[in-house]
Amino acid sequence: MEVSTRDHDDWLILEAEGRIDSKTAKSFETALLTPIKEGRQEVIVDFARLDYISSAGLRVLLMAAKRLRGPDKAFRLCGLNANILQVLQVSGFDRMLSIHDDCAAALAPQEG
Amino acid sequence: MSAFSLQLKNDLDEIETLMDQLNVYANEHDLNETVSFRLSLILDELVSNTISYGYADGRQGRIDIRMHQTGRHIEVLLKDDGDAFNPLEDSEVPDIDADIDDRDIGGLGVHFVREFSEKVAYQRLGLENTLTLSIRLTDE
Repeated sequence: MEVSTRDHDDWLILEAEGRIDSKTAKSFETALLTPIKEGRQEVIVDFARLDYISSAGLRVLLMAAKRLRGPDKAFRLCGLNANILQVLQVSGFDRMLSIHDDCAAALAPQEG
Repeated sequence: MSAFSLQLKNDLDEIETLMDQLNVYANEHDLNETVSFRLSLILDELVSNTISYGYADGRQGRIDIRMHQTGRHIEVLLKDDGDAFNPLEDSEVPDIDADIDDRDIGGLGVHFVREFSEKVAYQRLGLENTLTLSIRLTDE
């Protein structure tokens, strides 16, 4: 599982590639939570190159989402393949998190 | 031959071996992506639960995974020599309607197992936990 990051204006875009399973979830957690703890408030996680996620990965997404609640903060997901999207649907996470088809859509300003 | 047999130690490092071996199996048997995904998810969740919680005294243990295909299903048998634990009864039920502030992650693994497989059954046989389940070969 590889993570790369880039900046787009105030957004931090974090791209995870490969698998987030019970073993690799720990490094995903470090990669995602460290910048948030260091003050990044607008974060997009791009899963376009992610093949797989298990509940260990969902736990990390939930941790990030809890920290990015409130005004001036945002946490969005994009690029989910059909299987990963289904995992989020079955778990109810699709209703809790902001999910977009692709990164460009995730970067577009949200109304309201 | 569609049989699969793998033994793992109760060590989280073994998850990588598990996932790699399942990928090989999926490729060898031309499983579609969704079936392969579900197979990996179910075993990842069950095996990592066993590794994390199944050996309260920290002893070394053994986890056995066997599979074969029938016409329309993959039949899975999972055995371990850990403490008596029935994941079907002993896990929390996740509140999938909770909002972010109230949500936690407990029970989600077993929830996935129930969602994506059929005929899930647990038995304690001697000093072993045994779980059997079936995964449909066509996605729903």
